[in-house]
Amino acid sequence: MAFYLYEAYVLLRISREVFARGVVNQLREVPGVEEAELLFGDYDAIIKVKANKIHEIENLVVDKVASIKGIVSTMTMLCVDDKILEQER
Amino acid sequence: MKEVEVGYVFLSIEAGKRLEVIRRIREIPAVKEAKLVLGVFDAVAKIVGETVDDLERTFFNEVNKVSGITSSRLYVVACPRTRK
Repeated sequence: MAFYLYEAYVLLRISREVFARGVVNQLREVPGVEEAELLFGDYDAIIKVKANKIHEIENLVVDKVASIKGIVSTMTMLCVDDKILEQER
Repeated sequence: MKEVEVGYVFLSIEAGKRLEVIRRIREIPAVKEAKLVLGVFDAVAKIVGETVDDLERTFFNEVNKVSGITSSRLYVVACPRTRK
């Protein structure tokens, strides 16, 4: 299994003008996107992205994901390594 | 158990209790993955179950009972890939 340094969850809002399921299928094809699911609620979809450099996460979200037609907004939550909190103690 | 339904739980956690809370969350059998995150929420957990009722049960009876959680939300996956 490949090891990645950075992981992030991104919550997405999708325009009602497009077919949401189609957008999710498109997201699943993007390299770096590990999971993409449609959600019930105020967010329409969630994706999980992985990369080795923080700027790759940035490029993935800003250039590849946000440029897909129908994606209205993205909310990125970068995963934190537990070890960082362990050091705090 | 045929785990076909998936949900994502977003948590806000009391400052200083994050590590303790995330460890407790990971002990719950229906939790497949739990991560601390930066942003609007403090943690994201993926839960699975046979039915949406099971997801709700896990959310209300197990996840929400962990002390240190200040707010929680469950988003059910609309058409999980696991469901055929």
